Amino acid sequence: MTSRQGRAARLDVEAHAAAGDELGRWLQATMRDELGIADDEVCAQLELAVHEIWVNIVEHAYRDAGGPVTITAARRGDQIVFELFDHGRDFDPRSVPEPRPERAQVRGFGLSIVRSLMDQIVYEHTADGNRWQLTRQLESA
Amino acid sequence: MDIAVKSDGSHTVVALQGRFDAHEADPVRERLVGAISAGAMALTLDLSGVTFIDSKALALLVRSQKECREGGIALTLASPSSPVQLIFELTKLDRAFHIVDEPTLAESA
Repeated sequence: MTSRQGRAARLDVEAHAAAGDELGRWLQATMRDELGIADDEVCAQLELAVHEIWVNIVEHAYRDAGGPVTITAARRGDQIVFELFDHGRDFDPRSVPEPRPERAQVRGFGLSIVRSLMDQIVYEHTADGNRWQLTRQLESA
Repeated sequence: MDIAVKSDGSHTVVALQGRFDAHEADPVRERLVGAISAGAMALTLDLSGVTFIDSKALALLVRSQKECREGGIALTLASPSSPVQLIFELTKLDRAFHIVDEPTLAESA
């Protein structure tokens, strides 16, 4: 379900790998139509960042058993803010190995990719679940 | 995602079209394993049609590269699209692969 509030949008989606396509279509439409981001490269980067956190929720918070995820997207001036909420297990960043490209390891690249693409990442575990906030400052035209 | 397979016997080209993410990694892996089981000694993955790729799909590529190397099979990535180039740029993993511009069967000759 998607709702609109000015330059903001919300998606409620099931945490299942098969829903990645739905998430991608919503993100692309929201970034262009609701948040007014015209740069294809920036849209691709932001989609990848949000998708990686969502995959993290699918695998770590819900351990591939599924569960509800709420994603919001908002624009405040040139600042883009995505938030993802889930009710799964808390996330321990220490459980993910640091990526080492020289060893071409299989795990550990998701969060590293997000850190490269966003200006700020906030994670907090509350009584209701987990909240991720991703912020990116757009370059002024 | 659409997966197209072409083979001349020892060399197989697997062309991916569409979204290549955590959900699509297993079907792609099945095609690669199938090609190897059928006798391919060289595999080319045509990535020109990939519209999105995530770290799980990237992990599949890394794992496939490792397994192919151990099995004496040459794995080549061809024509990486912009999303593929982006994730390679972010992870610096392009250095782990043999990458070519065009996915021709003749290149293995």
